[in-house]
Amino acid sequence: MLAFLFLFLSFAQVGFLGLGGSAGSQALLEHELLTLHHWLTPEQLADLMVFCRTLPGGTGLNAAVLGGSAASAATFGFWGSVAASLTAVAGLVVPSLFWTAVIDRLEQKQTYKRLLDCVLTLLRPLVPGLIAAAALLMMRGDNFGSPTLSPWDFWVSVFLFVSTLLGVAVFRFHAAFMVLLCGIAGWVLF
Amino acid sequence: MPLNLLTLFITFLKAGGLTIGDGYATVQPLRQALVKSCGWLSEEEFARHLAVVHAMPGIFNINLAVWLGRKLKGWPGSMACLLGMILPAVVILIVFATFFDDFRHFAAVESFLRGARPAIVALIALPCFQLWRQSNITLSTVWIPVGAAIGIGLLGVSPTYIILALTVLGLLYAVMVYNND
Repeated sequence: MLAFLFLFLSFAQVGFLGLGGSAGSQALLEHELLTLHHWLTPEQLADLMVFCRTLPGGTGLNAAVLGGSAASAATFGFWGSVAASLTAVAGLVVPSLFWTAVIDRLEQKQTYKRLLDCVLTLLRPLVPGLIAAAALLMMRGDNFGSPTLSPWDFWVSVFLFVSTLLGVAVFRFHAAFMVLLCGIAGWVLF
Repeated sequence: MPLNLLTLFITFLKAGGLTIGDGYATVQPLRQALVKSCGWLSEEEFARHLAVVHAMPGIFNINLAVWLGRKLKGWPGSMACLLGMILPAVVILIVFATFFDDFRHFAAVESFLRGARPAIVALIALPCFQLWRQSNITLSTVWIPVGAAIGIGLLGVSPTYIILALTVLGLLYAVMVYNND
C-alpha cells in the first residue's frame, strides 16, 4: 500500500512546485518517474510523449495515469492499477485546489505581489535550468543508442535530434510535423 | 446557455477534455465556448484568468479547469470543470496502459518510435534556449540554471529541494528589501 502513498506524494510535488508550465514541470515529473522510483524507463516516457500528440490531456496528466498503472499493475492487477492511476491524478489535483484557494485570496494584496516579485527574481532564472535538466534526464542509451555498442543507432539519433532542433527553431516547422518526419526516418534508417 | 454544474461539465468536456494535444491546446476551444458560445465570461475576464493560471505552479490544464470553475460557480463548479477536463484522458490512458508495452514493441511501431524519440528529447530541450534569452540571466544569477541542470540532470538531486531552497532564499531577500525601505 506504500506504493499508493509514494504515487500521491510524487505527483503532489509536480502539482505543488511545477514551475514554468509544462516545459518546466517536466523535470519534476522525470525525477519522480525515472530517477527516484523507476516507474517508467526514459524510453517509455518518450514513447508516451509521442502518443500524447494524438491524445487529449497533455503529458503531465497522461504520465500520471500511465505511471500509476506501471507502478502497480504487476502487484495489484487491473483494478489495483486503476486505483493507482486515480491516486496519481489526485496527487496532481490537490495542489491545484490549494493554489487556487491561496491565489484567489491573496491576488489583490500588495504585500503578496512584492513577496512574489522577490521570490521570482530567483525562480525565473531557474526555469531554463529545469528544462535543461529534463532534457539531460532523457538523453539516455534507451533513447539514443550507445556510441560504442550501436554507433549507427547513436549517430542517426543525434542527427534526428539536431534536425528537430534546427527544424523547429530555425525553419519554424510545426513540432508535431518534425516528430512525424523523424518517425518516418526511423522506418527507413533502423 | 444556463450556468449550472451540468452545463459546466459538458462545456469543459467538449472544449477541454476532448481537445487533442497538450494542455495549452485547450485554451482556444475554451475561449470560444466560454466567451462566444455561452457568454459566461467577457474576453477581458478570460484573458485575466488565463494570465493567473499561466503563473500558477502545476499542470496547466488542471489548473485552468479548477480556477475557471471556481470563478464561475465556486468549488462545486471547479469540480465539475475538472471532471470534464480530465475524464476523457484518464479513461483513454487507463485502457491504453493495458496494451502500451505490447503496442510499442510491434515492429512497425518500434522503428517509428526509435526515430521519434530523439525528436521528442529535442522538443523538451528547445524551450530552454528561448527562455534563456527572455529571463535576463546575468553573471550573478547564471549559477542558478547551470547548477540546477547539473544537479538534477546528472547527479539526480530532487528538483523539489532546489525549488524550495530558492523560494526560501527569495523570501529572505524580500525581508532584506523590506527592512531597507
